[in-house]
Amino acid sequence: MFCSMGCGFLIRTVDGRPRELDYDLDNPVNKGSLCPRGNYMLELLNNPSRLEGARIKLNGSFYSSTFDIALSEIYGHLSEIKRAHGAGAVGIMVGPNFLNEDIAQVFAVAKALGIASVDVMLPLEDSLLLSGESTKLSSPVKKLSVEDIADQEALLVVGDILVRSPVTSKMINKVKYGVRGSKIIVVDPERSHTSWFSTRHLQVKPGTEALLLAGMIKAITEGAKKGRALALKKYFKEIDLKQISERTGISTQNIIISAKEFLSAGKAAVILSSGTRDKRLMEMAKLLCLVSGEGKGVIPFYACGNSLGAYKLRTVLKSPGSLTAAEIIDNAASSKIKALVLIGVDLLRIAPTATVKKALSNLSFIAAMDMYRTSVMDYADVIIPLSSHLEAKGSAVYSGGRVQHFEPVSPPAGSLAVRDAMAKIFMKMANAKARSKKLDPSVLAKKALKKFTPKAGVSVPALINEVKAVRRQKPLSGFPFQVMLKDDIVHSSDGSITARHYWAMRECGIPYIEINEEDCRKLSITEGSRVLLRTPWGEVIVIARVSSRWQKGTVALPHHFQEIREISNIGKDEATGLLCFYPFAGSLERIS
Amino acid sequence: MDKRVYLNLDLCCGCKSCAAACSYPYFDHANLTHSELDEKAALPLHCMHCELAACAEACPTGAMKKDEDGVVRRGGFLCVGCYSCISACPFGVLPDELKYHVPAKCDLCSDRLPEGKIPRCVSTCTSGALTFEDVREAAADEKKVWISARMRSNVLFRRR
Repeated sequence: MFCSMGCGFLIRTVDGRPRELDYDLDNPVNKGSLCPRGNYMLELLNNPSRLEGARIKLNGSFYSSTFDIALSEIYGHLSEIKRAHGAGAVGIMVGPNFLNEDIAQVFAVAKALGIASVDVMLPLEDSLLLSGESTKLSSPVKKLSVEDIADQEALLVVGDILVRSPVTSKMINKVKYGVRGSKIIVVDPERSHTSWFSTRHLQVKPGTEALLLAGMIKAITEGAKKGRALALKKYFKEIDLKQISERTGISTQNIIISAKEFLSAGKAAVILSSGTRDKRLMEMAKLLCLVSGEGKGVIPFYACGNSLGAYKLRTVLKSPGSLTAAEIIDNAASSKIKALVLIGVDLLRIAPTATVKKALSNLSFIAAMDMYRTSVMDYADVIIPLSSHLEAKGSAVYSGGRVQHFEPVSPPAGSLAVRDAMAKIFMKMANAKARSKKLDPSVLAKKALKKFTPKAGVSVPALINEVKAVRRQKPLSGFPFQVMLKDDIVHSSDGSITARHYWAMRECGIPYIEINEEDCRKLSITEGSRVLLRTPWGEVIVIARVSSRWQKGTVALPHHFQEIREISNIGKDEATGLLCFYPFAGSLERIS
Repeated sequence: MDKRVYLNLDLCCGCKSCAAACSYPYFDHANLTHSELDEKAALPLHCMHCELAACAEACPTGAMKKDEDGVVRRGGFLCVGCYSCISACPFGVLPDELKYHVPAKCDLCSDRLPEGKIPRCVSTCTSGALTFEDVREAAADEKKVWISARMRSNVLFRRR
């Protein structure tokens, strides 16, 4: 659940209790390898901060209660508010770290209760890539699975994939050292771990990845004499390689050579890593594969294990016209929504914006369900502890659309699976007869996943215009540094499931900022000195790390800290209505 | 059993998963640490179980010693936490802080080896950089003694 790779592992149990993690050397995906996050996965089961037993708030303090009483409390409040203010006054949000069956059950129960405002809160760094999943282009692009990476002759890697999903490195190494002449082109503003393995590193300016791909498509279509490239040539006429070269910071020659290297490979793949905060990157990657002929494919990686599954289920199960997660937050802030059920969603950690804080204080009833004690629980009226995905049976959808099944390691102790919690809320309303077939979550999830089809949609010229327009934003005066949010190798996504793990806290427990050597010299910042970062959204004090990885004028911070998300630019994507990160700028000052 | 952990510097992607794998089952008393060379390559620092183990020779109490199978092990009861082995290690592999009053020491996952399994750091390695090979075979293979291709112009690193 720490990324969309879907690695296999074994957990040895003694007397039904999990004891030790073991490596599944026969697994076709990871061949036993695990990333650091995977290695301390056992902490999902035995972390001391796991919640046990339900809590109800009375007169400002929490009291222990049984699950039954706590769940009837939730049902009672929801139905009361629904009666008083209408069905629109109640909202439900579910996180992406759950199995398909759990997410399907949430939608089913919400429908049965007559609640329309129900949505999945997708990870912010995935939103822009995921929205590309539902755009259909005129001809289909080959979908690759994770195992296919090793067979390619050329790889175009966008972003730092070896930090997000390090298990791919075995396959990337196979491409690099396997056949002489294989190419690995890395597009990343950082001189990252992935760029160490590149044969060509295109160090673009932050946020111009999609534009660079558009430039590569232009380079390919220009010399095209037949096929799809010729058909698409007219759309790319107005694109000027010189302009692209100026904005991305990559020379025209470099763009043309990279395009040729990608084109001339018999089998090639575009690997998109999550956290690349660029609009329409997925569509541009698909177009690049289309114009460069047979044998090319795209494989996107996401920040959370079941991001793709949750997104697909959401697209199918959401009733048309119902509110999105971003709209639920907006409505809660304006007091249109009075009661909110948060299932595995720590709003304050994911998107600590002013709107979210206002929404949390305005809501008259909040029920929070999560594995750990989260900061959003300070506002909650009822707390239900949830079990992790290791304690439930079900399925998740990973990169390349592979569906993987889970077997429970141990029964949930002192906690409930999401599907059970939802079924119990449902049982409060319905009599025993009604539940029989209607609410079998595994059948529902399977059916819904089958139904998912990309919508036909955006035209190529519109896409190009969008890609070009995003980059025209002017820098704000007084904020000279471009701020990048980067992944940390020991943390997953917003850190809501890894932030309490001991090793992760020890390795990356203090917010830091990576600054270019030259910028450090100018501002007289040294390694370890405290730096005040000011952005239009707030200020934060972080520890400086002098680094040669970033270009001049660019600084980078790990995004799994709430403090750092508070000062970042979180906005709503117009096309899909999903919350996502936007590029932003800031100023630096040494304070000690 | 004369097998050792070998590192191929060209393959390592610096994911630190070997360090995590070593840390978790040993209750954060891990021997394997991580370093980075000039922000250009990653270097897991693992115990090499040297032929002439400097740590064992430096040990005043005889806690650190080379066993019959060639693995350098630290006995728990004899160790007094005097830092001698830590300062003696020529590779700087032993972490320079004591935990539970004793230094951490790699024993090649001796709980796993009898079951026919390989050490944790090797099983978890995401890039295939760490391998568990027979000492004689590795020494006979001339190609195995090399200098990293990727680091050629910057740092010379020769494997034992």
